[in-house]
Amino acid sequence: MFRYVLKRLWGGVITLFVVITLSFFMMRLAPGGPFSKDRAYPPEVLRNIEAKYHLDKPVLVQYWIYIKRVVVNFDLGPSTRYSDRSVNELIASGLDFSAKVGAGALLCAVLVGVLSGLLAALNHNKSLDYIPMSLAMVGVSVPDFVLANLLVILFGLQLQILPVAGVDEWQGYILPCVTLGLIYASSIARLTRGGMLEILGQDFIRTARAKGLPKRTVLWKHSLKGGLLPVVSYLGPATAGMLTGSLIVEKVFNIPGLGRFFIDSAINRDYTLAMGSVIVYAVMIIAFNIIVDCLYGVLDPRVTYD
Amino acid sequence: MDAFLRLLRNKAAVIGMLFVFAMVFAAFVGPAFQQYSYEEEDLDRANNPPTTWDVQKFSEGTGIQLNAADFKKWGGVYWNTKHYLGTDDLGRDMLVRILYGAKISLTVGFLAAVVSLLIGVSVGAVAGYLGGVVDEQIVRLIDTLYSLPYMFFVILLMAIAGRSFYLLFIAIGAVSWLTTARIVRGQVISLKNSEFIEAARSSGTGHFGILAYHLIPNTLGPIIVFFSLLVPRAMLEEAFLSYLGLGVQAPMASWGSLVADAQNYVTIYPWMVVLPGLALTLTLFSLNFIGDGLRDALDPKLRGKQ
Amino acid sequence: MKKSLLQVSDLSVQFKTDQGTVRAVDHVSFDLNEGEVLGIVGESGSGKSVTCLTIMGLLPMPPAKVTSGEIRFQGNDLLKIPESKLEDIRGKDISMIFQDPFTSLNPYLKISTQMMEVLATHSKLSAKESRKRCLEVLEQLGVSEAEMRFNSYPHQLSGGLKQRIMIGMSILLSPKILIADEPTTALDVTIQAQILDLLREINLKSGTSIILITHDLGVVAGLCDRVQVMYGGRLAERGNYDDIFYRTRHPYTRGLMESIPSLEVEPGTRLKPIPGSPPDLTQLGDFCAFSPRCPRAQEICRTVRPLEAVDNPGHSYECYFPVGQGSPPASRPNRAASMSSSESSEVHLS
Repeated sequence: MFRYVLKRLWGGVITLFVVITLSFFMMRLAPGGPFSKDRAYPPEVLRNIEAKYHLDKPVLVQYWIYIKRVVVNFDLGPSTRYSDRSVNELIASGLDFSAKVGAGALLCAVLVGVLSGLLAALNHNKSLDYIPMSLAMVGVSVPDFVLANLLVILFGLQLQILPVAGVDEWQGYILPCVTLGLIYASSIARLTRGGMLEILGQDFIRTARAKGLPKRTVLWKHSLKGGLLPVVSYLGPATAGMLTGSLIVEKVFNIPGLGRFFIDSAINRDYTLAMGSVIVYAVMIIAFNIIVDCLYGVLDPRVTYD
Repeated sequence: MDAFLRLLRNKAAVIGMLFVFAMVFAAFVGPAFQQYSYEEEDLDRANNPPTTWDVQKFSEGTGIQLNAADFKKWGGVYWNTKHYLGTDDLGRDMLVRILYGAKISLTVGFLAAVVSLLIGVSVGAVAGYLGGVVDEQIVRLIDTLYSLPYMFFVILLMAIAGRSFYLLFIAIGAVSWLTTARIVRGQVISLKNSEFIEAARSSGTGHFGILAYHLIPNTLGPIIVFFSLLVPRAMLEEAFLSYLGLGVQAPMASWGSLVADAQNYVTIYPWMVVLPGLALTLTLFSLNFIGDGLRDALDPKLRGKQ
Repeated sequence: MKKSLLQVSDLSVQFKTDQGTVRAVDHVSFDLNEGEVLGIVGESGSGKSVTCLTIMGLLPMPPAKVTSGEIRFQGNDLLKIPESKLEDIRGKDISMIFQDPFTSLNPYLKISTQMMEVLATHSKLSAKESRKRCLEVLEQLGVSEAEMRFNSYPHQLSGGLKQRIMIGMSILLSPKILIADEPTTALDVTIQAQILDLLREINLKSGTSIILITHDLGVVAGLCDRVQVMYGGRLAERGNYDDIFYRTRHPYTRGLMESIPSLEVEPGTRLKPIPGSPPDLTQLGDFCAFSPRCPRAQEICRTVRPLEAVDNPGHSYECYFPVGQGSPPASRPNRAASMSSSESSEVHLS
């Protein structure tokens, strides 16, 4: 298992390099630089500023400087937009909010998803099966910003019980987490139901019953592990999806998270901040995928890593 | 063919098809019948709701002057007869705007799906057919690309380059071609060695001929199904990008951008957000139903796969 | 006279399917005595598995329904007692092992977990004592390196080993009855013999009654005291070993006998299958289920279901025109010496 993790980490590093390189050159190749849109600076000032950010040097040199700085110092550089703050600082501040929303959403998705999936599986073909599954079908197809706004209107406007903008108080986190979470909860519910139903139809469940084990034991001890496996594999793409979804949610609910920095920096050609954000996102996705794969191996003893 | 008949028996799919057809018709043919153009502003009637409980109270509550003559009471509620779905902040008719958005959203979604299909089918078919080293490399490429945080690149791309309509659907199409390629490759591999291919080969058909005239037509079933699910996915991605301001640009409008425009006023003028969102959601549902129906009709064995 | 342990009376089980109501078991009655091995023979769909699953209460009751009969065990009707009592009995008084060892064990749990939970559920043994007992049983069953296997996962073991473990799990608490549903069908021949030996040992040493379900008469020959042959959900014939093999009455049983490839005939002799195909269980009614394929069938067979006829005590069959008795051959296959038939068998010559 250890070697597997190492192999994946190495793969992750390579992917990261690809990501950094691609985004670096993508940004550089586009017309305009970080300062081209600003009000006209006198040429000398402009030259100084550009020198500060190494923009006067050839592209490949810039690339090398950047890589060196990131890899050796973990320093993502100074922001070109917010001239007195470093990218690390900015990302950290954005990440603070985004991480909270993300964690909350994940929790919501797993709890709601698994519980409703279990409910549906245990009441196969009865109303407690159809209702959650129909809702799940809706949830899977609804775009996040539509759901977000519906919730905002329902809870913010009509019922007036939850704040809909900003996260000054902890209640402000409820709607964003629920919005992001429910969409993935729908997929998780369907996967849980499918996985559980498949397991419950297997021969070894019959063996467990033949041994006289009470129904509870049969359910929890024998079925859950196998039944939740599809959910575990799904968590990889799900977390990646939640990261992209966070961009929307942060906009709807006005949360000063990483997403806002990312988009604005891309539009404003703030190279360092944009790159930094992409790197952070990429690291998170790669890390989650590795963790999920290892988790899967822990749960299913038949999986071998070569 | 009887597959078509099977499709027709699927009620959900039929309703979906009717809805989509109606939407497409309204979007493309509708403008001929419309009273207003999508840009026509009527500042006196800005921010008018489609319905309200009480014309007086609404004007008092929001400070928007409603023209009482515009509203007719029916079923206890007042309905806006001048602008059936209300107006936006510049007095533009919402119904017209939404239909205009429909045209854009549907077009982009469809074109993006086509792009995705073209790339995916070509790559997949070539990889599957040629096999060997070429196949290996392509598969490795696909796997690496799979692990990249794709959406982020698209965002970067659109932010940097993106005021081009064409780039939009190429970018979106480029996001989903991976899965298409995988599926097509799988199909080609399994068909590659069947008898009719051998027959074609022995009668002298060249590689390209075999690919174009024999292999691809026989993979058409799954491809059609996949395409029908690609379109809603592409539409969703377009809405996502437009919502973030990176998709279609003014003066064009898609459902995503319409929602974004009104996002800040959602608690005050909810209809501006809800209606385009609803249109998008219903269209996505319908397309998904059609896709599921096609999948069940063309090959019941495909059920459960994605 | 052996004591009767389990009495199945007039049992009928039906399934509702899209194609109609399947009469899987159709008014079947039989007894299981202490210490005996009862073989239930039949093709797939003959109702043998369903009967036993019903005894254990393992049939999913929405599609399945018991429409008549009772199953008496230790003074209770197993069809009427609450689920919790049934759970007590399963695994402790009556155990069951199944056909495919590859799918019958939970792949996600260790063998130790799956074995010890039986003891944890039904006994008050401590963890240490449970472990000891499990290992004891495994060694008894000839599992080499028992401790290592005990701590493994099912996928790490071979089919034969898995089946031994299944058997092990089922005898941990020395049940009165062990039901074995085609325990050797999924295994290859050499392992088959070993498993059957194991079962015989269990029967001899612990006095556990065994119901052995199989479609293979060869398996029956080596092991069973009494045999019943099922066809179309009904009991075609039942009796003790000699009755079935040497005084065959039912044409179906005779057909089965004749279709067994034998080492004693001339090479080149054709195999003799039973013509026709198994009955459609949704189309059965008040007529002999075997009549469409029976060489001896007459009009009455097709219109009225035969009642049970008795040949000698313990040997009965459902047929209007039974096959004549054959005379016992010069030699008989070896059987365990302490297996005693319930009655002395007299050879009747017609």
